[in-house]
Order: sequence, then C-alpha cells, then structure tokens
Amino acid sequence: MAGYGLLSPALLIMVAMLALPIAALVLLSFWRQSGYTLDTTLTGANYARIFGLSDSPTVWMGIPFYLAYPVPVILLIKSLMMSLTATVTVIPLAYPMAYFIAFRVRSGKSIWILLLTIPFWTSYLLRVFAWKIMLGYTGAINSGLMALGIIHHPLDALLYNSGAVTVVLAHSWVSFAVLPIYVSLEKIDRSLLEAASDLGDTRWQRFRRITLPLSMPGVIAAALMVFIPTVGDYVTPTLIGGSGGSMVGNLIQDLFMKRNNAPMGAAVAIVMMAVIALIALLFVWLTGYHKMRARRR
Amino acid sequence: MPAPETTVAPMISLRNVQKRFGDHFALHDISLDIGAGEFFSLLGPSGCGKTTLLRILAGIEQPTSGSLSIGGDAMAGVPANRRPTNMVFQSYAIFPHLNVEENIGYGLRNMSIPRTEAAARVAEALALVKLDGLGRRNADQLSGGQRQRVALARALVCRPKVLLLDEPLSALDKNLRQDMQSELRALQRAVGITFVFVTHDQEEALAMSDRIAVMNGGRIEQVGQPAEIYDQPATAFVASFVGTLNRLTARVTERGAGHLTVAGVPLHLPAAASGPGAEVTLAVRPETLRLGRDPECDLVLPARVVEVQFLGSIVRTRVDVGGDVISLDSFNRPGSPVPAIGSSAEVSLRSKDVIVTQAP
Amino acid sequence: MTFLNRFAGLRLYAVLFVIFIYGPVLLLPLFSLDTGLYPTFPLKGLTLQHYAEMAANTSMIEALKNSLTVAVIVSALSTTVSIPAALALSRYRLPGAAAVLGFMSLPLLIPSIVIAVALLIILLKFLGVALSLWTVGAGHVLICIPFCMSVLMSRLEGFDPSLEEASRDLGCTGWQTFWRLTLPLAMPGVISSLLMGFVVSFDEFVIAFFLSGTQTTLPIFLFSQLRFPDKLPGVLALGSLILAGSAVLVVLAELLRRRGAKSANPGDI
Repeated sequence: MAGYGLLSPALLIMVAMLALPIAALVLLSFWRQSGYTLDTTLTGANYARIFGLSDSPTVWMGIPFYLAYPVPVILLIKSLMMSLTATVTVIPLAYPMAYFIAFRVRSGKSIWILLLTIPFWTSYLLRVFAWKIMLGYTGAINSGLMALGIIHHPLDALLYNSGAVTVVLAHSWVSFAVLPIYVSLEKIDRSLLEAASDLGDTRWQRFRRITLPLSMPGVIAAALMVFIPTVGDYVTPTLIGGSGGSMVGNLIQDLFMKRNNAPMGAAVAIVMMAVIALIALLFVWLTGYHKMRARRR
Repeated sequence: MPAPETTVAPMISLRNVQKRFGDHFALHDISLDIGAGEFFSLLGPSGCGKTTLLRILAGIEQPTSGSLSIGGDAMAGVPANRRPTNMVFQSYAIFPHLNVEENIGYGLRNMSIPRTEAAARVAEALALVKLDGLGRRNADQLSGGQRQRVALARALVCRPKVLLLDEPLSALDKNLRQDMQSELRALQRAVGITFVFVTHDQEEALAMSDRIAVMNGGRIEQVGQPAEIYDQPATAFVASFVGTLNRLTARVTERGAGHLTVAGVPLHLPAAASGPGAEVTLAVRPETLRLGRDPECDLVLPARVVEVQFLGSIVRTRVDVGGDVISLDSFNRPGSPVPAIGSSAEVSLRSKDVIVTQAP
Repeated sequence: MTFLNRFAGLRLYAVLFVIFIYGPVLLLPLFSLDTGLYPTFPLKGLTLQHYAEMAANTSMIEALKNSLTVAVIVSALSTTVSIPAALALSRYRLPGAAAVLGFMSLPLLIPSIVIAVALLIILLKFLGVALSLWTVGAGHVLICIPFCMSVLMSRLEGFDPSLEEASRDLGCTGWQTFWRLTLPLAMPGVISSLLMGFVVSFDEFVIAFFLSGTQTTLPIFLFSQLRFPDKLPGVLALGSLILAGSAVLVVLAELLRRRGAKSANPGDI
C-alpha cells in the first residue's frame, strides 16, 4: 500500500479542505439564522422556504411561479438557461477549430493548442473586465461605432443584461471546449476515414457517418466542461450582468455577505450543485457517453 | 519492364506511375498490368512502396505522375469513393461505433439498393466469410480473425471489380494465418474478382498468388508466376528476398568461357563471364543441395559441418565450403543419421541449379 | 480546386477564432497606453503615464507583495504534495485510483463560489479562524492541486516505467531511484507545475475575495479599483502587466512540459 502512502498528503489536504467544508456546508444548510445568532437545531426550513408554495404567483418570463420565496428557483432556472445557451453556442464554434487542428494542421499543432490554452490560465477577472470595457456605455464598441459615424447615440443595451452575460460566458469558455473535441478527433484512426471513402462515402457523408459519431465523446465532455462551472459563475454576472443579468452565484454571495443568512446561502448552493449534478448525469445517460467511451478503449 | 502476359484486356493497367513525398520517391516509374480474375501479389520489404501502390489503386493517394486505368476506365481525378475497388485495411479499420452488420452494410448505403436487397446481401456476405449469426455483435467483441473476416465481407459486399488487400494476415497468429491463406485463395476463386494482395511475407505470396510483383526501393524488380520468381530470380534482390539463398564465392579461371573454381573444385558456368582472377558470387537454394555424394549431381564440394538445426519436417545442416557457410535442407526421415558437428562431409549439387549473381 | 478552398476556409475560420479569443483582452494594453481617461475610441495619444502612476501606488505595491508571497508558497506546497500523489497514481495500480482522481479534480468542476463559501463556513463558524492571507493560501492550495497533478501526471506517464525497473534492477532502493532517476526526468514537469500553480494562485479572484481579511491580493485590489472610474487607466495598466506576465509563465510552463515526454491526451477528462 505504498501507493496510498504517497497519495496521502495530497489526499489529506483535499479531504480536509474540500470534503469537510462541503460537509459543513451541507450541515449549515440544515441550521437556521435567527438575527445575529445561529440556531443549530437540525431543520429543513431553508429548503422548505426555497420550495415553499404560495397562492399568488410570481411571473417571470411569462411563466407563473407559485412560490412564496421565488428568487432562488427563478435565479437558478435563469442561470441554467444562460449556461445552457452558452454551452449550445460554444460547441458549434469550437468544433471547426478542433477539426482544423486535428485534420488540417500538419506541423505546429502544439502552437495552436498553446494559443487556445493561454487564455484559460490567465486571469478570468481581467478577461471579463475586458468585455466590460468593450460593452460599456462609453465603451469600445459604442465609442468606436460613433467615431465611425455608424451610430449617433451610444447603444445602452450592450451591458447589464443576461444576453451580455451569456456572450461573455461563451467567449470565456469556447477555447477550452476545443481541447476535448480535438482530443477525440485526434484519436480517430485515419484508416477508418480512408475505409469510409473506399466504401463510397463523399467527404460530407464520411463526416456525418464516421467523424462526427466518433468525436461525440469529446463533444459531450466539452459540453459538460462548459456547462457545469458556468452555472455557478460569480465574476461574469457581477461585472457584466448588473441587476438584470445576475445569476445564482450572486444570490449566494448576497445571502452570505450582505443579508447575513449563511444557512440559506448554503441551502441555495447545495440545491444548485444537486441540480447541476442531476442534469449532468441525465445528459451523460441520455447520450450514452459511457458506452461510447467504453467502445473507444 | 516485362510485357503484359495476359492476352485479354487487363483489369488494372499502370503506366509510368510515380509517387513522390517531398524529396522522397516512394514509387519510380511503375508500369504494370494485372489481369481480370488474377490473384496478384505485391511483395517486398517494408518501405518498398507496395502499400503506396495499393493506396494509389484505391484512390487514397494520388500518383505524382503517370496514368492508371481500372476495368478500362482512366482513374485520373476519380476519388476513392467512386472507384470500382474496395480495400481490406491492414488494421481492418472496423468502425467501432457500428455492429458487424452495420459495418458490412456500410458501403451498400451509398448505392441505391433497396433495403431488403441490402439486408440479403449482408447476410450472404456474412455466410461467405463464415460469420453467420454474428451480425449483431459489436466491433469490440470480435477476435482478430473475426475482424479480418468482417473487413473482407465489408469490401466484398460492394462487389468491386478489384479487391485490394493490405497485409490482411499480418496481425493474425501463425496457425490462423495459414488457414486464412487457403481460405482467402478459395474465396477469390469463388467470387472470381481480381485480388491485389500486399505482403512482405514471401511464403505467403508464393503460396497464394497467380502472379507476383517483387518490389524494392519503389521499383518493380520482377513480375512473374511464383515458380518463375523462385527459380529464375531476375535480380540479386529477388534471389535473396524470395526464399533462403546460399552464397558461394567462386574464382574465374579462364577469361570469357565461364570456367571457375569453388573451394578448389572446377566447374563450368557460361553465365559467369568475367576476367580471370575475378570473384563471382554464386547463389544456391538450400533444397538443391544434397549432403553426401549424389549420383544425379555433377558437382561435389568438400565441406565441414558447422551446425545442425532441427526444424521439424526439415533438418537444416550448415556447412563450411571453402570459407562460405551455407545451409542445406533435407527431409527429416526417422533413422537417417544426423551429421556430427565438426565432421567432414561432401555436398553435391547440379551446376544447372546454380544462380550467378554479381559479386557483392 | 475545391479541396484547397475547403482548406483555406477552415484556416481562415481558425485565424478568426483566435482573433475573437484574444480581441477583447488586447483592449486592455491598448487603452492602457492611451492618454485618454476613459477607454474610448478614437485613441488620443500614446503615454506610459498610467504605468508610472500605478508603480507609485503604495496599496498596489502592498497587494502585489501579498499576491507574490501567497502564490510562491501555494505553488511550492501544491507541487510538493502533488509529486508523490502523481507518482502513486501513474505508477501503482491502486484500487480506486479512478475515484481518487475524480475526487481530486472536483475543484475544477465545483463553482469557485461554492468552494469559497464552504471554506468560509468551516473557517469562521466551525474553527473560529480569522481570515488572513493564510486562509486565502489554503483555499488556493486546494484549487492548485488538480492543476499541478494533471501537469505532473502527463509528464510522468510520458516516460517508460521500465526505466525505473531498470534502476531497481541495478541496485537502487526506491528512494534512490526517485532521487537519481524519477525526479530528474520529471523535472520539467515539476517546474511546469510550479509555474502553473503560481499563475493559478496569482490570478485567482473569487476564493481570495471571500477568504481574505484586511490584507488584499492583487486581483482584489483590482476589483476594488473598478468602482472608481478615475482609477480606470491605472487598472488597465496593472491588468496589462498581469496578463502579459501570466501569458509568459504559461508559455514557459507548457514548453517545459512538452519537452521530451508528451501527454497522450491533453485535455481529456
């Protein structure tokens, strides 16, 4: 068991600083904040409040929500929709890029990969901030278009809405989505493609019948890698979203820092993670991702 | 280049085909005719250009220059998917996301064939390669031999004019490979289409082919029937690549007349016509040599036994003849004496079995 | 020739894609060199004045020092614990290795805000620890370990395990084999891991935002400056420097990691 001995320092840190805090988060979500004191008797009151029904509906996007405290559920649904939109946008943008590197670049593949990896490592805060400069009322787009004489008054709908947040989320993650797709394309045995041509496929048929199905594991991995972390994003909705484009991450921060209701914040965080996990598992199951991976081995 | 040997119009006709990858010539000026219904092998060591030639026939690679026609139609500008050829890939290239039936029926989907007929043809192909009942298997549940059969069925079901096979047996173990050799040959006779078979295994090529093209360094060294290739190798390369070859150094004694001595024994070979004192290399097949004095042979050379290898049905004896170590094969007959290592012996051969090649 | 067109089309797309990725970020250095107070077109004139102002800002220098300290300690610690762990996962056939690896990559999937509040709770409500740069560092170690692990494992998996068997066969103990063979061979990966850990910690915002006390790190300082429009040119200057520095370190780390051993599947999960 020498292996576990070597593993233990890192594993210990991970358990102490990830598993225990998450367990504490779960525990806290079953406590209650009353004023400035924490009531540590176990109760499901926070969850009951999140899902508590009401007779008078709150209407959001034309949908009536019969909830007494509709903010968490509505924000969560809104966040999921924004992440989903970003994910659905990112995949078709990333795929041709991955295809290009896998099939068209002969030498210098690693340079392209490096070009796509650098943004991922550099400050997310600054990358999002750059978008703020671009989209602001007196930002680069507005001032640029005015300087070119295309518009005469600044467009005010560029910033502080969920559309802007979705665009920035998609932009921030699109280069990262290229990598898993690229890996799955690169793994495809080139003789399979030659065999498909030999058996009468045109290029397009070959793509549809061989390349695309065999790259699906990468597409699914890319979708999960974009969807899962973006639902709970905090930086982008804070800088770009304003009040109109806020997401569930803002609510968690708000509950913890401003409203001094950490137990409710914990409950919202737990509900968010559970929903994300559920959607991810459902997605994996529906697409037969595990079967696909097993076959590729 | 040898003249076309088939009297009917050839199925495949290559004229001055060249292929260059950057500065490297993979194929130099290949001209070749392959007849309809022939089992034709491209034989050569790795890197000799045989696979490149096959891929040019398939349309996967384009020749740098030269022309190619298949079934009388020029193939210039015809992409792989519109050629009357199908290929069995070395790796088999079984589509991992499709089952056996879907793999075999892959090409049929690209022809306008009714669904029921396509299903019937797939079933027929499955039976042809003896995979009945395995149609629903996934690709990852197949053994190496089964994968090979699927690849074969998948290509044959399209009814190509020419079937191209890229070392299809190299991934199989020895017993299976020998079974598949005869099965493949029988299959070719049954379907009657032209097979172009790439291999680096000379025994395989000799056993299966109607004709063989021996390739080396991007050129065709010799084209002929297996016996021709083996018995009358046109070049030193063919002689050494096909079969085991013994080399004996001989010294020319009389200018222009082909009088030589080997290990002090005189012999007369008109083919060896160099000046006196020059050294000539003679090539001899192991099976043409006899241990001991044989009345049918006109040449007897003194030798010393160096090594005895027991190869099963054959016993290979290695002997030293005038400084050259050569092998000779004899059938393993129970009771026949095994020569002692270090003992003196005599080696008999017929001078007409000696192949004269250039000095090394 | 249609094939050439297709090729050119895809290449054009790839170039546009990279421009699209980098375009917005490049506005930062662009406007940081502009004399104007607001980041607007048309540009007014070239100046380095914002950089000079920022260099004279004492609270920025303070935050920079804090960030450097935290990042150096975090990257050293994360790499140190990741080396044996990466060795264990790439060399031993551990039962449950996949589960361990999955658990260790969780910080990449869990939103940082959840990690941040979870750590906040356990520090404040359960342990009663005051927030400081140490708590920030602790949070950063957690998110750096997965990165360090993946960098180190891709390096370790790249070289032939029979080398280590040969070393054992030649009489080295396990410990000697590690020092004389494994560590030297893995050294590019180790340095790469140190650089990556440094960059991740140095640029991290959300966890630092929740877990820092009175002393701030550079990203938090930057964030606090965003509220004041007149501080914007300085923010642009500082941001440009951070981006450039991070990019240089990442390129360096990647070059080191790729030298010799190559990962069979970068980016696979």
